[in-house]
Amino acid sequence: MSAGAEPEYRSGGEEGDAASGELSIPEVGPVEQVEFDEVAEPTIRPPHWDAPASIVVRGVSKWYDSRNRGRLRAALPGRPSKEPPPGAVLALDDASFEIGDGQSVGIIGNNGAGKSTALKLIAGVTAPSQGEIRVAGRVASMIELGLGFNPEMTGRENLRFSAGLLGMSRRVLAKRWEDIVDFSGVAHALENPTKTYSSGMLARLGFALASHSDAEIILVDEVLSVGDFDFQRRSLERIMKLNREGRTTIIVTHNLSALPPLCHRIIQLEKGRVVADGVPGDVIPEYVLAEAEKYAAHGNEEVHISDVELRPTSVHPGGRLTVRGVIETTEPLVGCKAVVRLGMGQALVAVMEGDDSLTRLVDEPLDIRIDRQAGRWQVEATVESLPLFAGDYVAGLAVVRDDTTEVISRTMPLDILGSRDDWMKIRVRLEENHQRLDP
Amino acid sequence: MEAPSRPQTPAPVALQRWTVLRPGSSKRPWASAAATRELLWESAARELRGRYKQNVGKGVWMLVQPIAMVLIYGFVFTQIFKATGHGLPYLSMAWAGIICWQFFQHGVQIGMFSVIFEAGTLSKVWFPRVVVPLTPGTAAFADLGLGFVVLFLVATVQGVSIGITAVALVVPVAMLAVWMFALALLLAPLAVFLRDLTSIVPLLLRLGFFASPIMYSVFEIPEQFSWLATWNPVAVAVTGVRDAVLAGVWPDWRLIGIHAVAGLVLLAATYTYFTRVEDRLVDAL
Repeated sequence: MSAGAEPEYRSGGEEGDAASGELSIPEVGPVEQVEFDEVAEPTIRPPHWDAPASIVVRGVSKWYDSRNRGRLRAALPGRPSKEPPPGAVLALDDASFEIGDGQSVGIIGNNGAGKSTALKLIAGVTAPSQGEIRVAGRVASMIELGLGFNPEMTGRENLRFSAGLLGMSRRVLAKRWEDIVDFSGVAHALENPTKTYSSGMLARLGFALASHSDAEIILVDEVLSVGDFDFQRRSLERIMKLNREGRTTIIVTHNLSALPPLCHRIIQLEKGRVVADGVPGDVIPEYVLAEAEKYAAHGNEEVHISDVELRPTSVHPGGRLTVRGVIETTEPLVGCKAVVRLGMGQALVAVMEGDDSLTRLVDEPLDIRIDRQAGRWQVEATVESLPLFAGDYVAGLAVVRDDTTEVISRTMPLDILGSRDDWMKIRVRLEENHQRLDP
Repeated sequence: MEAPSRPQTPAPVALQRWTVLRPGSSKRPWASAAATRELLWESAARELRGRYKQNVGKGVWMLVQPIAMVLIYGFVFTQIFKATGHGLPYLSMAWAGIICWQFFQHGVQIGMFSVIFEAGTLSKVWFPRVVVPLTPGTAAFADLGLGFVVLFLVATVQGVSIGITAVALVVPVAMLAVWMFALALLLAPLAVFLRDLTSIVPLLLRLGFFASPIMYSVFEIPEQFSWLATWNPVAVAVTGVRDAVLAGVWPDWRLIGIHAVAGLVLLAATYTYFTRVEDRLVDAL
């Protein structure tokens, strides 16, 4: 019906990134401006920053009315209630944002922040309770890999059916069959029922299919945590390639370190609201710091970090950074270890190797036995080449429990100079030395 | 580098069709009739394949249930209630009734459950969702077709000479299909909101089985209940099929026509209903 352009929903600016002009947060719809805590000026200009919007989310709220379950009223057609019912939890609360054509956007936030609801709404699976969503073009969701597969049926049969779900015609599927099967790497098992497949094979088959659809918009939800290392690497490459070809990509993941190489822009949700929107180098460290403070607030008195010092405090990508500090424990902290915090997450940083973007996670804990021995430790750790692209970061020391929960951290601002392209050629290497001081 | 088999590079936003989602009314330009039809075929083929995948006999199993029903109910109706074919061979008559009933019941009952069964897929990706409740009925055409082949064989063995009027069977079958799809489109979303229906509807269908002239001839219906034969689309369709195939007369066009028109009106209404509530289905699943 609305086959033509709808120019009133295009945000200002033309496509292409002429390097001139100040970089700013894109307009967030004509209705109202989203509140940001603070809008930092990014140091580089990501691609498609000013592209016309291909996804417009305007004043969208979403709630689930559980009172209606089993009532005839719920089954009647017609407009649902305009006000959220009392006591309802708003999965999205008056969220507004636009996503430009060709952008690669990561959505972050804690569990229950509304990330998955936002993806479901953009995928068109469900309608907003309030507000409006406009999406230009077709959407392929890689929300669940192996989507709609029937375990009794062969890989081939399942591919055919799922292709239909993704809007691929039989003719198009036949043309891309070779590519899809090649990418999935399950050619040998194509005639076996998918119940005999491993979860990795299912994931590969599903991803291969979804990533070969014609959709203009690709939604990725936690795909980055499925499958083995090789599959993750290839799927990340594939997502990047799709984005380079001009597809808009939206990625939801808790794996923050995977986002900077994939995304031009990060939107942070909290309790269904957009609380931050900007380049990864701005939004992710802010988010990590805020989260760390939450933990630190109910941290314990058994461990302290002091005298944290960075050398130098501003450095080029790939440069050398030395972190110094003192960690003091009054009791052995079982299950804990000390780590270097770099940029975002612990010493967990994404590393890009070579041109075609090998993404890998590096976890380099400091070899301090704080889990066995109380004491006061003087720590000095050197990151040989910093795996961060240009932007404002933090670096310092942290103590984490069970590899994930932060007990305490102390970080200092770190400024990475230069341009994002340098990022591509970096490897990380951590050197450290520490000595026990007398308590 | 861009081989023709690769996904096309997307067109600029200005050339795209926009999906608009609003509470209560959404606009989705992507469900072309052709794509929906293709998906429906694929989906029905998938149901059939899935149903008989693990069975050695494959197609033979399609017939096992109706054969068992004819044997059991046939015994009860002929030996205890003394039902007869009223001029038609009983076995052929009952078989004609059974295959039509199985067709109708499968499409309505499994159609009702279909949205609940497909909850996982529906809540993860959007596709023309109307395909889901229509799939069981579409797949049931295969069983019906096989049933008719058997009917022709059995009828010939029983000495029925099948004439030109047999071609008319498509008309009552089409009328029955319209009612089946209409009810599936109504019940599938209703059952999501009102789960009690999943217990009530099978019960009502069981009742409908005995209230319709499936295992007995329409002529067995007593005078005071004759409205059961004229107001019940299943009865009208089954009688139409029997007339055309077994009795060698043209079916009652007027009665079938009235039911066909009523069924089409209902189909239009329930299709509209489905499209009006489909956006809310996922939230209730």
